[in-house]
Amino acid sequence: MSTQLDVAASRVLRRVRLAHALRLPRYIGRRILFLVPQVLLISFITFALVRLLPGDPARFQLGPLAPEEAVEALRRKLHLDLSIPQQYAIWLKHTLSGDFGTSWSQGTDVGEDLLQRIPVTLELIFLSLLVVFIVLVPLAIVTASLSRNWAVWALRNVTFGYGMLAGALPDFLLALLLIFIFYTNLNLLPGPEGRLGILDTAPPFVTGSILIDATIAGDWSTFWSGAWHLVMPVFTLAFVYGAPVFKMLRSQMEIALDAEYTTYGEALGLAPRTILARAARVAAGSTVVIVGTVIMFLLGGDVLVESVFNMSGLGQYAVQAIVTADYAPIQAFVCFAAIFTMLVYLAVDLVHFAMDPRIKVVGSPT
Amino acid sequence: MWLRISSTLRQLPLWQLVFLALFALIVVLTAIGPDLAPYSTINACPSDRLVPPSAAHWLGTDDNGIDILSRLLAAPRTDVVIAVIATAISVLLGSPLGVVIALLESRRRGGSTVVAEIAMRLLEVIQAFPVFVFAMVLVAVFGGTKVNIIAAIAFVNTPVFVRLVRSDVLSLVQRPFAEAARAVGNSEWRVGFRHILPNAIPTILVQLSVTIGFAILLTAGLSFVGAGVKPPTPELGSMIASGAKFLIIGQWWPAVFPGIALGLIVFSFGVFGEVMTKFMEPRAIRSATWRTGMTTETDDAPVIGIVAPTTNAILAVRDLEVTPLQPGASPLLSGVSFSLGAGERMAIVGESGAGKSVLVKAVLGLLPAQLQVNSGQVRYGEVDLLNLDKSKLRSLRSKHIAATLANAKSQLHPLTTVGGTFAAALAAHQKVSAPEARRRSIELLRMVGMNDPERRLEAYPHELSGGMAQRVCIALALMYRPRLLIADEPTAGLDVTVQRQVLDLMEKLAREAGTAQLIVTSDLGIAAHYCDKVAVMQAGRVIEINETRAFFDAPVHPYSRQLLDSVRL
Amino acid sequence: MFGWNTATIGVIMTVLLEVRNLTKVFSLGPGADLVAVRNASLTVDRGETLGLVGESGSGKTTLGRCILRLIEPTDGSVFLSGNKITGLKGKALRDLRSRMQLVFQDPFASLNPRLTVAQTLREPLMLHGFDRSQRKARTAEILRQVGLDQSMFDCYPLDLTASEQQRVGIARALVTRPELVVLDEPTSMLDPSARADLLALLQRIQRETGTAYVFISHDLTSVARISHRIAIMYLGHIIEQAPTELIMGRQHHPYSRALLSAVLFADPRRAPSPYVIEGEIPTAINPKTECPLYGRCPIREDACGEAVPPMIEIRPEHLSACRRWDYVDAA
Repeated sequence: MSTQLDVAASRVLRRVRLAHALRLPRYIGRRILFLVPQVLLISFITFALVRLLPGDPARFQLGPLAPEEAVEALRRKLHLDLSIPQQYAIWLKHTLSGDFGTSWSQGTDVGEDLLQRIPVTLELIFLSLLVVFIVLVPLAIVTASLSRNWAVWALRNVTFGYGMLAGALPDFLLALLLIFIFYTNLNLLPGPEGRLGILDTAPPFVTGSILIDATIAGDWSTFWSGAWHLVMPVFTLAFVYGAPVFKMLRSQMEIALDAEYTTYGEALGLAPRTILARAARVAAGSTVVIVGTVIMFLLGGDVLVESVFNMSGLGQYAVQAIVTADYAPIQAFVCFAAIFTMLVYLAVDLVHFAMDPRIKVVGSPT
Repeated sequence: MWLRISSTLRQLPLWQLVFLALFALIVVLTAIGPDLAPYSTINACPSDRLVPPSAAHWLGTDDNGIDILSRLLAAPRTDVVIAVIATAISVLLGSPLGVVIALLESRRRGGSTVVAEIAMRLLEVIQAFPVFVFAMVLVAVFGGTKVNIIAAIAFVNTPVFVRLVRSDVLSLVQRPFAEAARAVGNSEWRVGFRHILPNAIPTILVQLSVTIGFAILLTAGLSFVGAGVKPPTPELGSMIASGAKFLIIGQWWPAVFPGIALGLIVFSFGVFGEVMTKFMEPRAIRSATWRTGMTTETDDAPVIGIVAPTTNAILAVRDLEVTPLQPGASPLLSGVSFSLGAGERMAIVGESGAGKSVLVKAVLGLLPAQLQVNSGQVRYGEVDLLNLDKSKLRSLRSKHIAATLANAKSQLHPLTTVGGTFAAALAAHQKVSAPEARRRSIELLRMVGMNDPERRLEAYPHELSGGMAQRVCIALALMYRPRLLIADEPTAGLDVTVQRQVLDLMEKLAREAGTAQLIVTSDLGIAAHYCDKVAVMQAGRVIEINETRAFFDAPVHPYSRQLLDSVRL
Repeated sequence: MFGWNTATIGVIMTVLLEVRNLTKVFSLGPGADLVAVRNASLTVDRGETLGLVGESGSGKTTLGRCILRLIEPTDGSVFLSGNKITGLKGKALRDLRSRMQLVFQDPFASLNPRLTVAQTLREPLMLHGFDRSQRKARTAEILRQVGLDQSMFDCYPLDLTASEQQRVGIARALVTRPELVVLDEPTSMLDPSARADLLALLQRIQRETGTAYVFISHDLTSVARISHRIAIMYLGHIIEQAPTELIMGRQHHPYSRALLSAVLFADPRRAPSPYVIEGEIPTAINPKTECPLYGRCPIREDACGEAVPPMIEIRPEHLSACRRWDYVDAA
């Protein structure tokens, strides 16, 4: 009798699991489908806004002394005489074929600029995340446990205010303070001169990341110079933007360690390390969501840090472009940032779904 | 109201009070700061350029010769006012929108959910813009006036509140009181705004203080790059910016002081937010006293009807007292004594709050950190459990003393399959290979009557029914044939027919292995038919112990009599 | 459809609630339909209590909610005092709420933690057009009726014990003088002593006000104490319906018998009956057309697996959905 029941139940279970498995590709497909109109909308809004920036690009380019006909001619050439939707259509056509326009203030091709600058920003973000994962994540896990170990106790005290403190500190201020302490006073680290010192030569361009390119070229002195120049920017970003991750992970760990399954695990005689690991698995769920948010913040925050340290990354590029009303770079940056953000959101949702068998619908209310 | 304020304040640690005071100071400065400035805040004085901190200028002067202290007193007004107004707009726009979207989504009817989904996608679009750059563009396009900065920041932050309120409302709408509000006759919109939204306020407040802090930083950041408030208006970000170039060459004061001020302001807002959360938590205004309508005469009279302590007791508890760590708190267990012989089955009965679960945890050595054993003894045979070394205690667990705690499904680790939990439990006490662990697990599942055990191994706890989960826990408990099994409410939440199966199973297996059982329950029926002895607990004390028949025939203590009367048909 | 036979007209005058062929199906996705309630029919007379008993997954909670139209039935109809209420919408539906109410299982969770007792009790009255003086009088009266002190008006739910919270819940349900109150496991989260008190309270109120109850519970002993008639549910079907003494004395469905025999009396001398069916309740997703107990039934025969057995009137007022209802004792 029970066999029949159980078989029936298992059959349903299998079918439901299959439905889940099929849902995933369908869901991804749907999200990507939504992505297209969303990106189009973003690019159009940016386009329109940017066109509203004060100043006349044609006039800016040719200077105040240029004759009116020349300015007119340039305006026509730049399609500035057309309506905004028409200009947008032209821009879209060019972009889809890979032509991102020209930066009129620098005179460079935006596409090439992007190629050079995106790796810089990505390198900064990646390294900052690495520091967060190597330092802050274990710290959060370990200090959540209530073990009477003196080392844990000391660490708990040290990290006590970290979450709130780092949330209150502006990243550009931390950057300045670090420069002041380690460069101006202690002379231990290089100043805000960019990715390399004045006397260094950049390695031949392969990926755009100095660390990687220098390694490929076997140029160790440049590698170390690049590394030293990265210490302060990476530390600033990791310190400030690691805080939400740290806070969330620690509080989720505390909740997990307080839960019934932890007590039960102890009753089963599991080792403390095992119990900590099991709690961490549960805490990871919400943390992943926060990591996604933090990646987005990093993209925004590194704008200021890049500017302070002169890193010639995408963020600094965008800031300069806004200040000089340079359309094409702003457009390109915003589109890139928006697509990047959407993909990060999607990745976070998927990772969360994969990690937690309890989630039935991908992308449940965050 | 004032009672709440003072009681909240009293609970706060010192450093929070300090920052709360600082917060108050900042509010004051926002109001009258510029009037307190000793020097002019905008008139340049080139002869006094970059004077380091001194008696005349406590914080020095900047590169225009203006006294920094004066500017610092005036600056909070700019930053804080912008941030507060912008955040207020975000909250007032975002929260109702969040409620509306959540209500549409929970209707589960085609049209409404489509609208809600489109709204959320639009929000995603707005949130996809990198916040800082977007604010910069808005300000650059519409001009750098304070109003535009406020509008830009408000626009950028509104989606945050929409999302937050939406997610909160979605979870609150499932709660019984929301359903009750509908049952009483409220329209769904009234339920959303009159009942649910007020309960979302604590979440909103926390986010509010975070957002204000963020808005202040955003204002400062914008001004730092020259896209926000323009000089000569005193504003912290632009002060840092103009001081930055001098910082690097050693003249630190024009940048550092505004920087510290900025950090302190944001931090104080954060503290204020945390304090507000604590304040807003619905709390008991007067303590709910124990009013069950039953006599509570718990005097120090000796326990009635104690059966002579068995020699060679498997478990002997003497005068156990457990109290919370705070001094002066009343004990949760006091003077608890009983003993259990080999193979005996004893029921611990009592109502909720009597201390039964605390007793279980104390015996197992699993008391939470806020509780401690004040005095008393717990012996397992000859071994003193309370003073045992941690690792020795761990080795006793499962092999000698096993336990199942209440609510089987939440005891099992939610992200581990049944097989995984078995493997972990086996590995904790012996080296065992994966195939061997699997074989033993299947054997154990069969022992507890689960059909198709191979498939069950792959299941996660939330996929099991209550009965199945409890069988898994029984298997885990009895796998080493321990000499003592402690079961805390083994049938809680189970269906009646399943209860009998589970109890019969426990009984059979324990009898075969000669395991003594300590069953904690509030169901007297279980005590009557599955146990040899009954101990009654009330308010942390054991007030009567007797053999089952004797107890049910003639309970002595008045509380025991009331208990029996209330469950008899 | 079971047939009324004796004195039909006279009976109908006293019938307060009639549920006819109510079905509720939840769609879990393509091809997965959860049949929570299937073809349920029952009646409740004025001033009487119908006990609705079942284990988890029986559909009793869903049925209760459908009666009150807090969940929309997929099929079937509900009549209150002869008026069909399953078609009502909007304001008419909201006005209906003053005549039928619900008491919840979790005493604390069913109260808005931010409202005082007074506010909670006032709200139904405000929604249904009682003026200020009427509200004041009525809230004071109902508080007294549920045995709570007037000083509790300004208390918040957290200030009260579980038993007191539940009394507030009951007061809220009764404040508009409804004709019918559905109680969904009102005592399952209370201690045994509080349980007994609450049942006594409910009985007293019924005597005083003539309110009818639908008492939903998995605890057969509580239900038996308070109900005049009992309906037992399994997997969304009502499988037996009869006056309390008849069902408690002798059951005519294997599941009813199993349920009763599973009860553990708080008396070592009343040994539990050995007749208990094995296994667990199967899933209600895409159920087959067969007797719901088919997989676990000790007296099943082949015909039971081919169609859903109809409700048979064994004797007046006693209905069973088992083909072999007279063989139930024999197994």
